[in-house]
Amino acid sequence: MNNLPINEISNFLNIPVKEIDSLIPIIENNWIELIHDAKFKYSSIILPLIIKNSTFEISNQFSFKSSKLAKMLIHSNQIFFYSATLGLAVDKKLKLKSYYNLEDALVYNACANSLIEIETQKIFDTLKKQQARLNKYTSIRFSPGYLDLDLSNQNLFLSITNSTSKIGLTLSNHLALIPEKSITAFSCISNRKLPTSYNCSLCDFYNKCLSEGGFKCEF
Amino acid sequence: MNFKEYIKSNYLLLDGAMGTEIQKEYPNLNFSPEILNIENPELIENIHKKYINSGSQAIITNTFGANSYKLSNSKYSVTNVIESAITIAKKASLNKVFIGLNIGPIGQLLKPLGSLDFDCAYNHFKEQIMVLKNHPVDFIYLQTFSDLQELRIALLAVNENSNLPVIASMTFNENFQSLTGTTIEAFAVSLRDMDVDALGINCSLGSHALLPGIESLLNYSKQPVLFQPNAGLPTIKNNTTIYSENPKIFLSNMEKACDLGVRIFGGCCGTTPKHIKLLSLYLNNKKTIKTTTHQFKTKICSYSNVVDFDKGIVVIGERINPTGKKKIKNALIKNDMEYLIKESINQINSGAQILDLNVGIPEIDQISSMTNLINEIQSVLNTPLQIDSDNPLVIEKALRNYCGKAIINSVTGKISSLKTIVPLAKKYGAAIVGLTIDENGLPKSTLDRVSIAEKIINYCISKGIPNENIFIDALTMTVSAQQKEVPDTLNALKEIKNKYNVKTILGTSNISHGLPNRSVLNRTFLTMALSNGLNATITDPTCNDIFETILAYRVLNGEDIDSINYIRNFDCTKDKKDKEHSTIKTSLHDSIYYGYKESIIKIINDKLEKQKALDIIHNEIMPSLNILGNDFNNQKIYLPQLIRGAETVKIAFEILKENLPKSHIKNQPKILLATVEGDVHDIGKNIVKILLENQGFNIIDLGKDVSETIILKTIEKENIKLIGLSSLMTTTLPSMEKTIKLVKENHPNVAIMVGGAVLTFEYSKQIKADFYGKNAQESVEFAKNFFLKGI
Repeated sequence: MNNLPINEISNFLNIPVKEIDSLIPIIENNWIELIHDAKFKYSSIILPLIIKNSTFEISNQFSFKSSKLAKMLIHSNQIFFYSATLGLAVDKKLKLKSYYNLEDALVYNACANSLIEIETQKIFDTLKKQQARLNKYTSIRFSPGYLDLDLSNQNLFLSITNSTSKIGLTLSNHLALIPEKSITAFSCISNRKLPTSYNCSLCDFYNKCLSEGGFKCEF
Repeated sequence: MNFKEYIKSNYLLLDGAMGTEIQKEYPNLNFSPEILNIENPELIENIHKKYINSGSQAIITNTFGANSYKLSNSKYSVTNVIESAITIAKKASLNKVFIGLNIGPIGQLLKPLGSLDFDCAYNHFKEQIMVLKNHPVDFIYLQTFSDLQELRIALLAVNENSNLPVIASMTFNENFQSLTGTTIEAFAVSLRDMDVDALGINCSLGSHALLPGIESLLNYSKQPVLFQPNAGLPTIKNNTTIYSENPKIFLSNMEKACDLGVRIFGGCCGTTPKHIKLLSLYLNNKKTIKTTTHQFKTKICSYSNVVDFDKGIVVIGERINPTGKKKIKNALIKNDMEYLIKESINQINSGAQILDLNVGIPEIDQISSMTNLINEIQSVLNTPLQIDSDNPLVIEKALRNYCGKAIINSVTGKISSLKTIVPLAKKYGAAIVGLTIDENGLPKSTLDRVSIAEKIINYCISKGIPNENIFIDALTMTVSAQQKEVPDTLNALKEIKNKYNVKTILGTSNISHGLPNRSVLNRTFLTMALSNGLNATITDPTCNDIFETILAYRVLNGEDIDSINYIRNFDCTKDKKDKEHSTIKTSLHDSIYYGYKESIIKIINDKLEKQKALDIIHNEIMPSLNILGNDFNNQKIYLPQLIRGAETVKIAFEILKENLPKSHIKNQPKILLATVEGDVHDIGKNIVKILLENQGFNIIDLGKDVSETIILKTIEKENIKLIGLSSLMTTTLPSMEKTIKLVKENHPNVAIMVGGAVLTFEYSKQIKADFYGKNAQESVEFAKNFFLKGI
């Protein structure tokens, strides 16, 4: 199978690529199943941005705070909000597999994480190209819950992208995205160059991180 | 004329978009538009007036998102917002047009996939509806729902808290499925026999793209159909949102909808008073209403899967029933969903189209057991369900929680039974099985059976149950005890089928109780019943003889065109046998290490002929598991391989358990596992569970999103010494901390191990956990040491 994203899947399975050969058949089966189940949908919007101190002011309507991000992105004047989901059928299949074949569930889960990551990256790559044509620069993407950007901002992100009605993305009482295989993120846009890589030591979770220097982390 | 009467004999034109009209004044709206009912009532009144002046015969209040979840950050209460909206609508209408209370989805997903529970959702809707006690309107409009279950809950809240007419409308995507997977047919079949005055499709793609969808709904709905699409899809040009369908285009599609049979019209996002004006002119010139008559078929459905009883024999799986099934009984007592779901999957894979659910054992709370089972099955499977109980309270709770149209199994010909059960079928739009038994006991002849069937049918029809929702069971008698009555059952079946326009059903396995080689009797009786006109059999589809008989019948009766399913099945069977044959020579160790699930059953059965179960476990399985664990720790294998081996061992244990001394099983150390409150991720916990089970621990798995109260109660009830808690989200770590604190306060001798993606060793110490497992295997080692050495 040519389009099997084996590097991403092995990352999410925490298995070195060179060791994954014996699992290829099961990965292929799960990938095919996932492509059938997943209904990738996303919602996005570009809005004017002013960063003052640690506050991101968007269109004079919304705001969120992050002093670390504000320092990194201070020269931005637009912000791209994005939310995406693979849909509920993936959650249901994952749960079903957890009941009758846990190995399959584990692989399917890794495939689903890979798929949403790949689709998301495509959108952000397109954004980068589009902005480059306008002589503008985009930053790497950030999500609520990382750095000092509080997870409670999920509500704001969903509201700005109108994600509940557009793509069926909701929040649980404990701020989990539902469907589970979903992402909210943003990227800043500027006339000046913005950070395109990320220093893990900035992250609030640096000391707690299990992902060994960004391995599996969105940054 | 009141609204209910009006829509029976007239076209009705609703208004157009409220939200996009508001956005013209507030392009950067960053608060709930419903707040404008209080802060800018003139604007809302003017929008209403524009639509009334354009010809709307009914206006919808600006209350789409006026629920306590969406208004949680607002300074206004739900009651304030709705009261104001109704006052504005009344002021604008001057009693010239109907007013409908607009209710939209809450904005959260229902359990078990989401975090909103049934009662909480119900109370949100009830709160909105109760405002109408002092501020009456003409009807209630439930619109833009993408979750059928949420819409059902809203409909129940309306019907239980008001006497108003109600329209129920869903929104569908380009595949004519809702975001939660509901099809238009399942939507209509689920609601068409409930107390609802119109069904509809609104919002979404636009009038052109939704036309095939509305045509489909017209085929399945018994009620007048509403069509309120967007003005096409929006695009943004120069910072302005533009919808693709101008009033003329919109009208041309609405004319087609009218020709198809739509009776209630309106416009959703992007429509304007101009759209409504053109539509009004068109409808005013329509002299006659198109009415269509459909012969509705017997259909049962889940949220997405419809079973049509007019397409041939329907197989209803009977295995989820504790009568005579010790493992099912134990699973129900222990709330072992894994076993029950696997049993459901086995039946579906063997051809069950509907699953019968019976939780009738006195040791358990049958209401909560049935509810949990339905919720869990519906969260992973879309097979429709039959609710099998003689307890009306169990049936009602099941019907409330079931998303779709269920079958009630059953009502008898006793007046008391008819009076209790039939109203439930009516209220929840369910189908019902009538057993031909009454106050006089078991029927003694064919005539008795037919006569009781007639009594049941007449009663059901008098209470508004349509013929297509009635099944009659002429009672399968046990041939070993009542041989003479077997022909009565078959004769009655034939006569009922010929005389009344209802469906027939039989629990065919009952025929063979007490006799050897039951499957021969079962399949022969099934064949006889089928030739007498049986529509549905409640049977064990995992029994190969039954499955093959049904496959053959479908070929011979012309249901399996070109014998496609028949050929496919027997080819697969051959493959399966070849596969089994090719793997039987593998050793037990290799089967475990490489996860050969196909061969493990035969290997264990062969070994049991020569060895004791305990010896197999200690001398062969445990050493293999140790090798597997060590190789995982040394990164010779990885988690998927470890899990595959563990699952293979689990299959082995299922067989070995039957051969272990009872005292051994009773003395297995118990471990409680749970994902903490608020967290909906449980794959990690499930991995730990299977590895612990492999080591012989008795796992009490409380699932995910588990409150500390339930954990504390279970520790006490089950005398737990070790618990494992999992959390994947930073926002649920406080739940974990709180749970640990309470466990330590109330049960200081209970040890706690924790794990999960966001946890670290340092944090686990901070929250006073006894052990942090970086991976599942580490937790297993800790548990082994804990029970062996007490550490």
